[in-house]
Amino acid sequence: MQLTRLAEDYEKMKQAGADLIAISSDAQDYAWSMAQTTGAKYQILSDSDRKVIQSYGILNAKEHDGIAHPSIFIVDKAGVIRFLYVGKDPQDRPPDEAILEEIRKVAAAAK
Amino acid sequence: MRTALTSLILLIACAAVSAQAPRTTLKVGDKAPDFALPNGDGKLVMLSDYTTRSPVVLVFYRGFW
Repeated sequence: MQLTRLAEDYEKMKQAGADLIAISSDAQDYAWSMAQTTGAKYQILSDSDRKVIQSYGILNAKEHDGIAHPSIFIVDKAGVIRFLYVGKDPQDRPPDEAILEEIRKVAAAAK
Repeated sequence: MRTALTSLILLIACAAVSAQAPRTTLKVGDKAPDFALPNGDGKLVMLSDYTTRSPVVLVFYRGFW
């Protein structure tokens, strides 16, 4: 489960200098129960009408009335995308260390 | 034999389709679309509120349905 893993990664991301926001098409009460079960200290947001998922161009309309392709975007302090990765399935994501390295780069550039 | 061959071709075709990585039109250097979405407590969270403080890692996940 990606969110359980993210809870573990969150501390490392914080240390590297970034905050974390998780988004899915789940309803708000799912977002609430996910926050409870994973003990997440970061924001878990509900995009139930898929508007944000669409604006990021990662809607997978073929599955479950539309869900997000598992994706990672690193956004800098000016609101500009510095890194992005769109996975073909939840297992398809860059290694943690690669993500942390990108965060450190973006955080260093912001100083 | 023919059924087996058809199944094999179908299998390969399916594998080829699923192996195709999805792509977004956004790219590095683009402005990240700002948003305001509710968290589990119903509080609206804006991306720009967070990026003004520090870089943000946005993770989109499939969800639990």
